Amino acid sequence: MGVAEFETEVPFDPGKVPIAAVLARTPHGNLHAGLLYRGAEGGRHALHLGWQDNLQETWPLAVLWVTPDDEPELLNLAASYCRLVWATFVETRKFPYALMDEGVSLDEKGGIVLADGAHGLTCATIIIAIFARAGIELVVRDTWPIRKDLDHKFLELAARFTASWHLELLKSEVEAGVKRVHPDEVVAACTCVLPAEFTQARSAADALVAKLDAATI
Amino acid sequence: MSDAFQLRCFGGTQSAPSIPRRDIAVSSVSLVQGSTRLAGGAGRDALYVDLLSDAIAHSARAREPDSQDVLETVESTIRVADEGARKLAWIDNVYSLVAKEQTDAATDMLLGRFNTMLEHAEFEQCDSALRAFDFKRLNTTLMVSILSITRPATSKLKARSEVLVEIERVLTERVPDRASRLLKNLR
Repeated sequence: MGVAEFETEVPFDPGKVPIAAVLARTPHGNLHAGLLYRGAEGGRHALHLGWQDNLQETWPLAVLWVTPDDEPELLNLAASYCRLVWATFVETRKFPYALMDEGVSLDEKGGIVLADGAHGLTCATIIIAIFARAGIELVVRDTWPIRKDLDHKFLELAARFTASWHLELLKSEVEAGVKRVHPDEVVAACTCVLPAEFTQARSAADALVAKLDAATI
Repeated sequence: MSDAFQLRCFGGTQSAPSIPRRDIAVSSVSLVQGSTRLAGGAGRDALYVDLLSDAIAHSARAREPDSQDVLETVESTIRVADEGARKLAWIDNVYSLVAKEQTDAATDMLLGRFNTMLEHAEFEQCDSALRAFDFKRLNTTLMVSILSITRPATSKLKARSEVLVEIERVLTERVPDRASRLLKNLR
């Protein structure tokens, strides 16, 4: 099982670890997840999906990081896919943000492929997709529940800043019922025996968030 | 290829006593079919193809000076083989990076090359590359990378199932306790 570390205490060292999932609380109070990985030159890079077409490579927030317990070769490969995804995004500047991710995959160029009614990825599900592409299954997706009450709260936050067409898309996804994986759950899954089921990941996420908030208060 | 033909070509002898027309034809076909396999050590084999071309041309001129059609066929064959070797020259660069323990750079090169081929639906070229790899010259990260990048195109790549068997065999030899975990989600 992976162990969560505060970067302030144990800095992510790309010379030792090729990739890690990270969790932070933003100034808006919400949780946000992403990846730290080893770049082509060996340095520390970040990859996180901020919002629609807003993939970012820097991470200014204090984070908890954790590397899933899997084979080093597969972790190296996951870092390679991060480099590929970023390189493709630099060319296209397109990366859809949406809640319905089941059916999403990454193509050979690290671009997003939408199938089976999928609309895009979130900051959490891009982590699942990249690890999956490298052969690491983080979660048992079918075990995730639909949580409309939490999804409506998420929509209230999104309504403050997203474009109307995008908000309508997200609303329609919530109304249809979406098994949304939350940011803390995907990072917490990395601390579990893989692939993690919802109950394990949720329990681990509660502990992780408590640790994060205790440190940042 | 007949043994005698191989002996002459690999030995690079310039005084081969004879190459029957039938052997040249058979060898030409074999060379086309095997051109991508030859390219497994692409830089070396591009040179090999040049030497082979010279050897065949020399012998054909010496023994069958009127068989221009045979000569043209052979030369055409060599051009095809040479082109195949050049297209796969990047594999030598991957080997080189692996030998220098620059695994990240080797992986990025491999992913980039396969990306280009798959993006342009060059599945035959992709199959040629898969068959050309000498897995003894790759480390475990590169082997799982090959399986990962080609996985979405499994149904279109005839060579992938063969390569999977070969990689599984090599991994079982090298890392017997981890092989099944490495391959779990990459079959």
